[in-house]
Formats: sequence, C-alpha cells, structure tokens
Amino acid sequence: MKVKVYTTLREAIGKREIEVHGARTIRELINIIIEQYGEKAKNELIDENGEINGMILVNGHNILHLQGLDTQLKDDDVIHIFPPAGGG
Amino acid sequence: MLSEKELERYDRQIRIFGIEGQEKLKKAKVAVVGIGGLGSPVAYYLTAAGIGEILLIDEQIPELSNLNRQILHWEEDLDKTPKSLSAKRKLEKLNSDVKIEAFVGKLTRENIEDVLKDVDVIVDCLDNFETRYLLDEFAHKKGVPLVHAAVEGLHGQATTIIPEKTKSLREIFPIPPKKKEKFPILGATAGVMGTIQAAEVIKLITGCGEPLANKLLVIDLAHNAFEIIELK
Repeated sequence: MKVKVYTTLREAIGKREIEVHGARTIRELINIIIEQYGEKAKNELIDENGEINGMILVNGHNILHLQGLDTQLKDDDVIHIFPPAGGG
Repeated sequence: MLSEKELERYDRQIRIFGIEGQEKLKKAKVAVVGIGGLGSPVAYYLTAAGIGEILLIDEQIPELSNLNRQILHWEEDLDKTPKSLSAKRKLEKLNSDVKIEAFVGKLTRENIEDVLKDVDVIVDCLDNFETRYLLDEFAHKKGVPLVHAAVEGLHGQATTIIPEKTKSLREIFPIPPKKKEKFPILGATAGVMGTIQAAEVIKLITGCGEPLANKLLVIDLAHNAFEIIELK
C-alpha cells in the first residue's frame, strides 16, 4: 500500500511517500512505520498520551469514521497521514 | 450597476469573470472571523477586489509578537486598537467603496445568529477549533459556505465547506489539533493560506473556477509541496 505523509512527519521519514507491505490494519501499519523509521517518526505519530497524532485517511476516508486503528487495509489502499494545523 | 470608476478600478479582474462577476462581488457580504495572520491577507484582498460588504470579527488587541504575520496591524495599534477596528481603518483607506463593519467581540452560541445574519460567505481565520466548530454548525444550519484554513510553522491546510454538498468541518477534523498557546508561524505561511482563502471566496461568489469542495489542500513551504487530498 501507498502511504503519503505530510509536513512534520515527512521531515521525520525523509520521504513524501512510502510503500508498505503486509500491514493488515492501521495499527499494524503504524507499528511498521515506527519500526522502519525510528524514534523521530514515532514522536510525530504518537503523542505523549499514546494517542495518534493527526488524521489518517484510507482512500480519502478518515479512519475515525471507519474502525479507527482496527480499520482493515488492502494492498492497493492509499493512506494519507496528515497532522492538521490549528493556528490562524 | 457599476460606475465608470469601478469599471476602471476592477478592469484587470473583470477580464477574468466579467462585469457580471464584479457585480456579484459588489452585492456580496462576507464575514472574516479572526483578523490575525490569516484574516489580514483575506480582508486585504477581499477589500481590494471590491466585495460590497465585509464584516470583521475579532475581540483581541494587537501585541508586538503578532506583527510578524498580522499585516493589517501596525506599531501604532499595539496594545490599543482592537484588531477589527485597526483593520477597518486601513481597509477603508484602501477602498472607500467597500462597506467595512467591525464587531469587537467573540462569537458565541448566543450571539452568532445575530452577528452573522445576512452573510453570504464566512471565512474561518480563527486560531482555535472550538469556535471553528461553532462556525461550522452555523454554516450548515443556514446554508452558508465556510472557507477554512489553518496554519502552523511553514505549513497549512485549506478546504471549503459547502452545506449539502461537502462534509462538515467537524467530519473532516473530528479531533481538533491540540491548541498551543504559542505556536511557531511565519508571516509568509499565513499570507499564502489567507490568499488562497480570499481566492476561494471570490470563486464561490462569481462562480468562476472550482472551489476546494471535499478537497483538502495541504501546503508545506518547507518542502515546496502543494498537494490535494480528495476527501471521501
């Protein structure tokens, strides 16, 4: 599956887009990314309370409207991980 | 009807959307909610473009650390003139054809219907999601489009909410990003995102082009990235 990352996460990973294989759920995908890209990626993905930082979309659908971290993934899915800004 | 002077003043943009488009701008009333980093360029460009009526909403007074990005407020306004009044004074000098109204206060569940009555488009230039959700609810209740943007550091996002046609802001961002008391921000980032919001408003009113409906525009100036995420 294709994972597109933005802004601060892009900086941590060093790429705009990565190809990940074998993740069955979003939870597994996050673990694979953290395994491959280490502490910096982890700090961007997970906040101090262990919650996911930012929004995750699977084929344009926010996982919070699907099954959250248990949302099932297929190999042809496109995942966007995006930390929304809040300032004005 | 546009006067000779107006035809000349707006000539370069009438070449884009015609006299009819310019007349639509003249008849429109737009609310800019938050006159800070985003609200400054939004209000500047909407005033320059000849929107008929602009309502500026903000309750704060400019502080020194605002001036790197809030370009409608100057040293002379520091710790003195509320932002909506400070902006009104300059915008009236920029374009005396535009009726500029200022509301010095915070939008609340109690006053929102009254403050935003008769508005055709709302521009979200706020710094917090609590009030953004309030605008979102109002926009859907009244069928008024809402142009969203938010910024941080060198990046930002924008999308346009059109009731009955797009997702609500709350659906797109069910969990607000954590509010930071002092967040990093470059003036140019707010300038880019605010200018996009102003263009969105003008596109909505004139019918020209294609608004960011169900599309999230993400701009990352650090990596020269301009990307659209299709929201489903």
